[in-house]
Amino acid sequence: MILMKTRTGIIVFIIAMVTINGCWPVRVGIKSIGESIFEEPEKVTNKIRDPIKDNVRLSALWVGHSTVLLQIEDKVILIDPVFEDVISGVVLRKVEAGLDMKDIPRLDLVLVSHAHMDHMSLGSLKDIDKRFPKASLIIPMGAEEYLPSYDMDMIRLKTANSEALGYIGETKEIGGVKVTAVFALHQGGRYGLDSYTWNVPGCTGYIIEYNGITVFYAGDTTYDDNAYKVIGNKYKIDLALIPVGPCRECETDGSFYHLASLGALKVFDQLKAEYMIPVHYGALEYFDDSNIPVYVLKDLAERYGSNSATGMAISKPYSEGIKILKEGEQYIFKYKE
Amino acid sequence: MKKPRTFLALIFLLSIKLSSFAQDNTDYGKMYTSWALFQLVPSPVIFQDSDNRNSKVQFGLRWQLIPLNISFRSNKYTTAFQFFKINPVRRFTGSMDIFVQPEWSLTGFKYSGLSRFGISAGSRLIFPIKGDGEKISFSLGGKYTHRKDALTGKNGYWSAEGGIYFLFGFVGLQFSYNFDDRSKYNIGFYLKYF
Repeated sequence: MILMKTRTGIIVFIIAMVTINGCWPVRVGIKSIGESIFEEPEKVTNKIRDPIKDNVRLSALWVGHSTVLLQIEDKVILIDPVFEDVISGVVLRKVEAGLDMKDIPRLDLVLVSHAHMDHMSLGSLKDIDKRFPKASLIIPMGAEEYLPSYDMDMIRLKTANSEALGYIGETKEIGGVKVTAVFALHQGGRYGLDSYTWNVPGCTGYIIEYNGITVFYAGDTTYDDNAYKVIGNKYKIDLALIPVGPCRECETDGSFYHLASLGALKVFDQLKAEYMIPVHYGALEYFDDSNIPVYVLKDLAERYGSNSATGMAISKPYSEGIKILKEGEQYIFKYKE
Repeated sequence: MKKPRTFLALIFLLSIKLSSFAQDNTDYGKMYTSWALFQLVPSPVIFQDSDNRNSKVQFGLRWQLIPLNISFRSNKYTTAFQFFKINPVRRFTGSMDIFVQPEWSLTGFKYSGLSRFGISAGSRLIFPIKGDGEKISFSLGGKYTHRKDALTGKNGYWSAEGGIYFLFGFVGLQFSYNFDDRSKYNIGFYLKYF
């Protein structure tokens, strides 16, 4: 009897160990919950306390992962705001958000690309709503299902995430800023099955235009041979914010749901944008090192030099066009004359 | 026989998202099938079981059904009224549930004479605490449980109910104080996906 119990115990133990170690989501899930309870993210030192400046035409401050604070002249725009240390209630950021919300003096627009936890935090949106009730919240059609009401004005844009719909979706002008929903091939939803099985709508990229400045934000997307050429031919893009991860094979175009480093480089070519800031890495550990996508991007950019990844003509070497920022770092692209 | 079918069909139609647009590739078949299967997952619960001299806890299962949820914070693009398949955001950010809970005591009631099967119906208010309710929310409510007591001949009892919910409102703990001397409390998990 004792022998039987011992044998059953050993079998259960082996199955448990194989499951925990062999199953990546289980292993990462257990590790993440432990970390989110007992650990803290790496601190960002020297955070910028005055991110909005009078003499700037275009600047971008990378808060971390996909959160970016843009200044286009007198307009302040926050993209995919996630400021919390623990994302989705269980996943601890590797590095804290590189900007304190209290240091944002004013805010005109908040853009959310889709409702996934790493792009849309209800806690952060509530804090933003308290501080900036007169801002406008822009979302893709379908994402409204994952949001409560706010004092902020919620504006929903029709998306066009296919060739049949022409890649360019609805445009709305808010306080002089033109925002257009553009192609992104990803998922809507927020809670697992709704994203991966039910295929609910609600993801987009954005084109933001104001006073002769055009910024492109890809959202989460995958590589498409045609879509970014169409967008690049229609808009003269000054700055493109393009996701580079997560990727296991970073020297590829990417998976069905995300761009990898090489894919991001190709999108940059096809958009014919003046500058690119890579996003969607650093804060979350998907595989091993959360910074691998940007290391590979840097390596690829050095290898290609002045030759383009797609064979298209590029106006300057990648080393000049691609600006890799640290969490909390701001780059000023254009000053007022 | 015809009336219940018509009623169920009406509820089903009301619960389907009415608005649609060109980008909507939602697989409604998979959505409702998988959602229905998830509703079969029971929430474990323990019931107090006592008579004048003895008291014990009995183990059982409970199913969480929400025929109606009224959100206090639905945005201008969404409806406040949801039937059966409840969007978690509209629930945990502040709302009212009209709920039904079929219950089955696996170990039975040994002292109180209560029947194994019971069904509760009631209402609860849900309030956000952390992360606008997505990380932590809580609820307060009341319910009536229909459960026969072979010893006293009573058919049921009223209860006050409280709950705390985590992980997007999908997981929680619920406590009920029952106005019934034979089973004064029950404590259970709350497991419900949408």
